[in-house]
Amino acid sequence: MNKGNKAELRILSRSENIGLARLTAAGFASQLDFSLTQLEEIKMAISEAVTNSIVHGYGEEEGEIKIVMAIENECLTIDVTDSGSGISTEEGDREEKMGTDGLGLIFIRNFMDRVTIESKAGQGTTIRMVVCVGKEGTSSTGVAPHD
Amino acid sequence: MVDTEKNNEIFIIRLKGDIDLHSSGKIKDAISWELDKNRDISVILFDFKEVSFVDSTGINILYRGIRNMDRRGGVVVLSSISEHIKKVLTMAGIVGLVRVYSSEKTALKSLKNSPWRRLKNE
Repeated sequence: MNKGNKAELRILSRSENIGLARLTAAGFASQLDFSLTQLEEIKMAISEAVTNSIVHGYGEEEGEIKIVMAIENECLTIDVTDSGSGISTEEGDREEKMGTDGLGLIFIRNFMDRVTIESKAGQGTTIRMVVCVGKEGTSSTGVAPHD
Repeated sequence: MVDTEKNNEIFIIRLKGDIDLHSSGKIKDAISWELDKNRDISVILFDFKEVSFVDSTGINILYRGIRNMDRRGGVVVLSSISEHIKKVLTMAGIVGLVRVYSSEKTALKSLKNSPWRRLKNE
């Protein structure tokens, strides 16, 4: 049983920092016995969440993105928080704005075990992602090359 | 980030490293410039041999390529994709829209043996 751990990373909302967020999250996650497939999925999920904060949270503005990572038992929780534009419930679903026509959120939801999004207009957004060791990865796609 | 080569009507795009928000802008610009300059391009071959990571902003590049070729009546093919990237492209619905080859070499060989116009109708 893992004893638990916690780490925090604060980055400016610049695209060159996305890779740092990915590598930091993957490095922290490697304290648990995630498969290589799961580590790739964690990298993808955090990349999408940070990209969302940069593109939709801050847009042309520059702000801070806080990434809090915590290990408890066999699960990893990652909170990605920005203080950007946020969105009110009246404005519609923030999820529709994420990634390529919502593709970013599709990846997050498929790769993480639990996802919650809290957002308020003018105050920012927090995406909480939880993934636990042992989730069955689907490494095979069943797609064969046309050779 | 990207290395491009024009081989007659085939536009080869060799993607490199991490394809995310940071790199996708420059890649899009490089591709758009070549496509605008060379109206005879009918096939885009994206090779993933040296790609270590791709997210939804990278996938957007493929969508744009597919849309562009569709307008020209051409096709997009992919080569050298890893299992993880294949999974991501499948979830994004890309794999159903394009042909996938194990390597750039086999893709080019196939394209030469089987003209792209026939691929389009298969």
